[in-house]
Amino acid sequence: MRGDVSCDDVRDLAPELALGVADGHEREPALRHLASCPACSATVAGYAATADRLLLLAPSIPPPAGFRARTRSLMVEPPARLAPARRGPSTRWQAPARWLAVAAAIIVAVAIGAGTTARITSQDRALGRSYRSILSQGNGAFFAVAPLQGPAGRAGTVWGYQGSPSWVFASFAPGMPSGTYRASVGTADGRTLPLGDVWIGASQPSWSASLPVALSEVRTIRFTAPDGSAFVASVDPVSPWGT
Amino acid sequence: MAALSPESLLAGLAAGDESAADAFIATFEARVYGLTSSILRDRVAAEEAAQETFVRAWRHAATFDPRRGSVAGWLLTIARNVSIDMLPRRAVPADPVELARMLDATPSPADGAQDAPVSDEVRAALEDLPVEQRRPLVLAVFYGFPMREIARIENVPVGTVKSRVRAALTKLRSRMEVGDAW
Repeated sequence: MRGDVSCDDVRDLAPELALGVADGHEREPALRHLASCPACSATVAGYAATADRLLLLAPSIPPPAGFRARTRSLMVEPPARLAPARRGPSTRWQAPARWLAVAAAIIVAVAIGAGTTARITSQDRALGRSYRSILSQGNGAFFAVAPLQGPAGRAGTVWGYQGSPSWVFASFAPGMPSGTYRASVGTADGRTLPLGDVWIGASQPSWSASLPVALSEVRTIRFTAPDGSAFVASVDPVSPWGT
Repeated sequence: MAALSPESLLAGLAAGDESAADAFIATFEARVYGLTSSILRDRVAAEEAAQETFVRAWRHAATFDPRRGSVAGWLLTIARNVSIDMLPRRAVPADPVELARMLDATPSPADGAQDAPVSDEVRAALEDLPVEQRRPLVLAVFYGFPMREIARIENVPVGTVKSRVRAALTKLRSRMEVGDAW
């Protein structure tokens, strides 16, 4: 008997420990036991070696063209470069970590509702990977978000999604004047492209539209009120994946 | 370079030798991508997982212990763990026919010919297991399913799954004489 559990307990759990599928509440005391029990440790190691050899049965499938070069490029660059590039101070739309975390949390919450089970021991990684995986199902690359600013201050929030298609979603603050607004997108090369007319009011507090350009090209989302006043979200999306 | 052993290539990878890195990836890329593809069943995700596998191998090459197994086994274990972490949800990954097809594929002689006899031995041992033992073992090894989840899929008590997996591992261990080759 060593630690909180007995050798019999650990040997009963040995296959699961070896396969890496033991529940967290069972694994932690068992691992403590293994650290001080060579006999049990050998038992688990034996099972693990057996399980690992099964991986040799994986089929050989040539990866897509360019795989080697892409992989090598990841190896030669310092890991820090994988993080989102830092931009200088900007009043424009940013995709800061806290907003990405919000987006990820929303997505993961939905995914959990659909049956996703996050790994107990790697919740943070699972969070990011769920976010990335779910994005990939729509050919998405990233989310971004920006405040919608009007003449009197914050008037709502605009969300941007880079995917296929890319789209924007806007939620409007209750105090935003009712009326039919002209929505448009301003691009990095100076173009202004119409997104249609939008009725905004108490019964219509949100709006969405697909984008005619990639989100990375978007610099402003503008809603022009009937009296000509502008409500603008300024955009500077950054890929959370460093792509 | 082609004559160098996987261990030598891994050492070169760790040392920053570009030609060794290229050769290392070339040697194992099909095996790694084949495994990540089998688990994730998504081309983009599989490539991402395969890339991450090689990056982790590069970063942790110094931790490889040849006394504990082959380079291929070490690398595929990394690939398996990366892929499981990337699985978006715990849906049943494959029906028995698809699992069998995955395991029926034969490694190409170009990538890890040294492991071909081992693969044949492992395959034969796995095929000799009763189906009710083979399937939960594969679900756990390749997909990281916990026992309670396998029990739900198989519609049997958790204790039954644990017994079957233990029996399967014990039989395989006996057949493969673990420790000789690894």
